[in-house]
Formats: sequence, C-alpha cells, structure tokens
Amino acid sequence: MTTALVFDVVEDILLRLDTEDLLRCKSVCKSWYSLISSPSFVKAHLKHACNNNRELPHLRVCLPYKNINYTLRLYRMVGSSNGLVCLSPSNAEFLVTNPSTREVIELRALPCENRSDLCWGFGYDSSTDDYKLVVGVNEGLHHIRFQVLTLKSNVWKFTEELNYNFHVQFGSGFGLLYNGALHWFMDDPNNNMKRVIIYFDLSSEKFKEIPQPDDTNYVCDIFSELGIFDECLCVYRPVNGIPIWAMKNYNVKQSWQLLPYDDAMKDYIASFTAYTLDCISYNGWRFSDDKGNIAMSCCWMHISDPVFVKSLVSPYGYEKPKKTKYKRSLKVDSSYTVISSSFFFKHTMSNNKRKKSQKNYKRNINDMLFQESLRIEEDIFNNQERKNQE
Amino acid sequence: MSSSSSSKMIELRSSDGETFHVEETVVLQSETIKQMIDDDCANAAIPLPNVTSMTLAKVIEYIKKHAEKPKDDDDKKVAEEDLKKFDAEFVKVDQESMLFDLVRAANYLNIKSLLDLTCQAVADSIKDLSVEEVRKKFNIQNDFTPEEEAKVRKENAWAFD
Repeated sequence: MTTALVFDVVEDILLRLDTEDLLRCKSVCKSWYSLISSPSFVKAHLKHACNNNRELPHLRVCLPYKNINYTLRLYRMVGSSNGLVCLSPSNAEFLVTNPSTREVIELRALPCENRSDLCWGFGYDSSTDDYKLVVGVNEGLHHIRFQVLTLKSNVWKFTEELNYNFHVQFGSGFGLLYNGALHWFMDDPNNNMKRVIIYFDLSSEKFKEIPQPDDTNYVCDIFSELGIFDECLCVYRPVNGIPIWAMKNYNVKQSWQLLPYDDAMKDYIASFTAYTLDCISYNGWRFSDDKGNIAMSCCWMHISDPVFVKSLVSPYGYEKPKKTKYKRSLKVDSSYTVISSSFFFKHTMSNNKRKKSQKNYKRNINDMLFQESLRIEEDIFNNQERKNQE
Repeated sequence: MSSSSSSKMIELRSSDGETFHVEETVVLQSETIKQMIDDDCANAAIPLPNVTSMTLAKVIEYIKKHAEKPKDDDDKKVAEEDLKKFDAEFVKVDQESMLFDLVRAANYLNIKSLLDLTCQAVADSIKDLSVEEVRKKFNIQNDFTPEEEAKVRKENAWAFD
C-alpha cells in the first residue's frame, strides 16, 4: 500500500489528466474536489494543456457540416478561446458553452433589432482575466458600429464606430482569434472598397490594420479568408484552397510568404482535426463523439476554424447561476428535438403572446365599443328625457 | 570514461543507511543536492532520509543516463531517441508503489524531468479508472458522506458513464 503523496505532487499529477477524468476525480475526496474546482487549478490545467499539447495548433472546433438536423444548422460559430465556445443560435443571440464540462450560459441579447449582418468574434483578455464577445453591425455603407460584452459583466457596451464595411458571406463575419486579437476582412470605402485586414486588440480594445503583402501574385477578394496555418496568420482562397499566404512574423509586412504547395503542405493540411459539437437536451453542448476524442474530419477547411483546447474553464465566471437562468431548458428525450422544440417553443410563445395580446386588444376594443354604445344609449336616453321634459 | 577520474564524487546515503558514490556533474541534476553543494554542505555523505536505497538506485540510474552527452549532431538524434526509449522503459516498474516512491523522490530531490516523467506515468495509469480504483491507488480515505458524494457525482453524472 502506498503512503499518501504530498499535495503539490498530487496537483502535478492531476494537471496531466483529461477533463473527463478530472470531473470524475472530483468525487475521490473533499481535498481533491476543492483542488479541481479551484480557479487556480483550472488555470494551471489549461496552461499545461496549452504548453504540452503538440497537436494544439492543428486542433480546431466546428459545428457539424452535414447529416444534421436542420435546427442545429441555424447555430453559427462565433469563436472559441481556452476551451469555451461562443455560438449564436439566431440573430443577435449568443451563448457560451464549455463542451468538456457541458456547461452553458446564455448571454444578454445584442440590443439591436434582429440584424443578420453582424460580424463577430470571441476571445480571452488576459489583462482583465475575462472573455469578450465583440459584435459589429453595418450602419449604412460606410460605418460599422462595434459593441463589446464581457462574460463577467454580461452587459453590452459601445466601443467604436469604424469607417469600413463588411460582407456577411462565405463566413467573413467571423472574427479570427490570433495573438490576443480578432481579425476580419473589411472594405475601405475611402479606398475604392479595397479589402483590408482589421484587428481588434482584446486588451486595449483598439482597432488597427494589418499590412498585406505588396506582391503582384497576392490576390485578395471576396473569396479570400483568414486562417491559422503553421501557427501563422494566413490568407487563402477556399475556392481553390491554395495558394496560402502566411505572415511569418505577426504584423510585420515583410514577413508575408507564399507557401509552396508541396508534400509538406499536403501533410500539414491532412493533420488538421476538429472536435465537432453536438447539442444535448437540458445541459447544452458536448462533443459529437461522447468521449471528446477528435473526430476524423481532416479537411483543409479547418484552417479558419478556431483553435480548440479542452479545459475546465467555466462559462459562468466562477459562480454557478441559479437554475432559473436556463430560459430554454426543456427536458425532452431526443437531443435534437430539444433545440427544435425550444426553438419552436420560443416562437410559439411569442405567437401565443401575440395572439393573447390580439385577443386583449379585441377585448379592449369590444369593451370600448360596448362602453361607447352604453354612452350613446345613455345620450339617446338623456336626449329623449330632455325632449320629453320639453 | 576519462572525465570520471577528474570529476568530483559525491556520497549519498539512503534512509536505510546504504551509501552511493555519484559524480558531481551527474548529481547536479538534483536541485536539492546542488543547493547543498553550493552551500558547502556536501563534504561528508549527504543523508537522504526520505529515499530508500532501492529508490535511490533507480534515481541514480536515471540521472546517469540523462547526464550522457552526445558527441555530435548525428549522435544527438540517436541519443534523443535512445533517451525516449529509456524513459518509457524506466517508468514500467513492477510494483506500483515504486512509481509513487519515484515521484516522491523526484519531488524531494527536485529533479524536474524525472518528476515530469513519473507524474505523467501516474496520470496515464489513472486514466479511465473508477473513483474507487483511484482512491485505492492513492490510498485515500473517502471523506464524503454518502449524501455529499451522491451530490458531487450528480454534478457531472455523464462523466461516470
């Protein structure tokens, strides 16, 4: 029988465990429970996973592309950071989930009327130890109005209005997280609608432009996309997949390189693997493969998908919300029907509400008419009385 | 080896009184012993009251292997592969208690690479184990009441499937 290990050695061992093993190990004893639940351990575990996972830059997260229920397809990827994934169920609505712990939280909806032309992104700000959801809305042809929500506050705040424009097509509304900043392609109305790469620094909350290569072979049009390749920010065109331009040193114009399409690149592209998300009934999201193994969905399209690492980071900040927070928590057997039923639930709710209010309105009208008719009758009666008296 | 004659030898004494002679260059991998040598406390045999002779012999085998220096770059690659194989074999111990003893010794002697290697080996051995098996392995008493344990398990019931 082994004698007990000193506690910091236990921590050193537990740091190396997978998230699912850790969730189980919480019930070993009280000290393990508080250790694994502590924010400092969650951070240390994340750090260990980031530093020791050589596959990391190849590991991505995505929503299923095919063979899925229609309602799941309505969800759009907003971004992923430190194991948290931000999704948008419908226009201006957002949720943050950790598929490794299956926790999920609904964020406050964006205060704008049901806009579909949004550009967005999600990432971690180390300066405030908080996560930020950044959403831009086109205001006419020449302005984008940006708002930021921090996970701890769950409040939207206006950040800046930019003199650019963006197109929501081919997924270009999605902001690529790289080097602590979110990156988008935008069109510059003051420069012949030239495509520029704009980034938003999550700590300083400032927008800046990334210089693009001067090379005559470099093409950047509406088909171009941003991605991460070989740990570098890159620009490529999914229409033909290649060429890939990579910026070897971040934000250094001279460091852009056209990567040769050789066997090494083919191998690298083939090494991309993604965790695919799946929706479950009442407690949100998990990996489509139950154990969180990486689905074998090798595809060069993952270049633009967010880099993903399994973690214990909680979307709640460090506090669990009360059960009542899950507005859409319907417990139904089948996983897919839940989303659809909650989706329809919501819509039928609003329909019911509308019907109800229509009914109310009708009743009010009727009441008014009734009152009015009473008043008229009264008037007639009074008039007749008066006449009779005369 | 020609260097061995010129290198100073350090004497280590295990908890059960056995002494080991190791070259200073090799033993410097232990931060704890390095500190003792720096503080000039290593003139006599260094007592290691927390490490048994059996464990100490294994630790010395490890640090000796890791002190080998490759001659050139070609040799370096071969040596790296060789070291990987050695590490993989090293943690395949007959008795589980030996692995825990090595973790404890690596922690006490402060040998970072050995601590990493042995902690990883223990972590690998926990993977997919049940809670009861983990308790047994670490010799941990369950201090939850049945109600508390049920509640904790319920938090992540799916992870137990």
